[in-house]
Amino acid sequence: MIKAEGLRKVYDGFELNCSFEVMPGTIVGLIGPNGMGKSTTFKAILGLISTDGGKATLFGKDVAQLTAEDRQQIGVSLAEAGFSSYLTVKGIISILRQMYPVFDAAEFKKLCERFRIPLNKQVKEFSTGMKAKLKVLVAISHGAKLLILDEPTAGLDVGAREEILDMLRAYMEEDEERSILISSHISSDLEGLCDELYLINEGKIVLHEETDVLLNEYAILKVKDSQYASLDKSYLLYRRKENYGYSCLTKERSFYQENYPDIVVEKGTIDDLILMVMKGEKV
Amino acid sequence: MKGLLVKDLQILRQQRRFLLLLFGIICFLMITQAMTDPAFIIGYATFMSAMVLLGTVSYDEIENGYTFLFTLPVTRKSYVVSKYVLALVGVILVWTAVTVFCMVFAGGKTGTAWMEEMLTQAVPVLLVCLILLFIMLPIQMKFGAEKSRIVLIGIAGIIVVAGYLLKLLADKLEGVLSYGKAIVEKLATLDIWSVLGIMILLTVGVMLVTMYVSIRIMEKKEL
Repeated sequence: MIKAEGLRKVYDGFELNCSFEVMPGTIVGLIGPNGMGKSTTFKAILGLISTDGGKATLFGKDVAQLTAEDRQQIGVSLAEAGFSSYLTVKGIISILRQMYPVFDAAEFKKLCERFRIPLNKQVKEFSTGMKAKLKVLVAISHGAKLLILDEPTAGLDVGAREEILDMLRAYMEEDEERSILISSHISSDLEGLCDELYLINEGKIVLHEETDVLLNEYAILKVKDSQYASLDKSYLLYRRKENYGYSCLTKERSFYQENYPDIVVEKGTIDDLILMVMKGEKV
Repeated sequence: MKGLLVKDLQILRQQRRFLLLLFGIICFLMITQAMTDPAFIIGYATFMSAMVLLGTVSYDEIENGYTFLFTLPVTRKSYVVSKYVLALVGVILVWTAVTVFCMVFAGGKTGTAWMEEMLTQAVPVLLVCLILLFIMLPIQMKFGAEKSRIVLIGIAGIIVVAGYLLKLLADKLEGVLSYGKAIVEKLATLDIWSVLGIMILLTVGVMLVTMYVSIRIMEKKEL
């Protein structure tokens, strides 16, 4: 669905240089702190900005060659952009009707009602949650094969975030060929949704793993200085100096649990793992 | 492109209070001035419609609107073409409506007298408004609503300075200026149909050139 190979964009003081892939039928998450290249990556693969190297393909086609018909197969929600906030949802419906041949206005209105989105109010009068839900509804409204969602849950409370994630799960259940590329700095949102996760930091992919592997096989070891000295470091990825000694990230939880029963081995959340990669040093 | 036009119509719909007010002013002018000064009313209404249509570009630009717009199934070229279609159709519609109204309410004028007034005043007003709008469109797309105002003031300044310099150097440029004078004198001898023909060709030329420039601007725009 999406393939980015050595995708490069240089700004003053920032360089994006990343490769990743989204296969049909999968949900791929791009996680990382704000300002580390998530939105730039999205803009590059959507052809909104020029690139300084590398290649991005969607549906096997170079992004610059995408036609209007190709774009009908993509649903997009961007963090800081959307339809003009002077429009009403009714107005947006009439636009979508013209833009997408398979747009189902009745179903869209039904979903708006379900998510308490008023049809006759201007979008600028909406709450943050209503705006975010509308963006996702627009993206999923026209049977797209691919969704590209940049921070769709940013700034929302837990309830609203869960509603959006449920919408995405329902969208995926309708067709097993569909794919989603989604970014968030709230990794817990992606934990229960994504098949694979890419961690981006300072414009580079620093970790790529299946979510299940990340949650089940990765672990954080908490060791004293003396324990660290005698530890087999072959399977350590990152380490971080702590008051008590070191915390270390490993992909071989079972190995350390079995061979070092006296050290603390924590499964850790995705956030813990991210912190290790971001703040730690490579072993 | 149909979707883009619907978007603009929806944006205009949201401005209905302002548009109704404008419509009221134009109606008032038509009722009170149609007999005495139809050219002014036609000019005012046509120019205002051009400005309102130009304003739809600002609505696309604000709040990173372009960024989202170009994720939709539209190309940057079709965006520019849709703006020119909207401008052309919108301005001509308003111009036709106001001109017909003035014609009906002009009163007393015979067909020939009316036709003469139309050809010498109303049609040139339409063409000048269209030329202005076509020049403004790429400026607005390139610089945005805020900066384009400064750019326009800058252009006006350059024209004034150029005129002043021309006056200062009139003696030295006598040769060149005499050519210009000859062209103006030649134009003055042409009949109204020829002048209108030249103006229409000029309008179409400006439209094609500025549309090409606008497409280049939009295609190079980093969103």
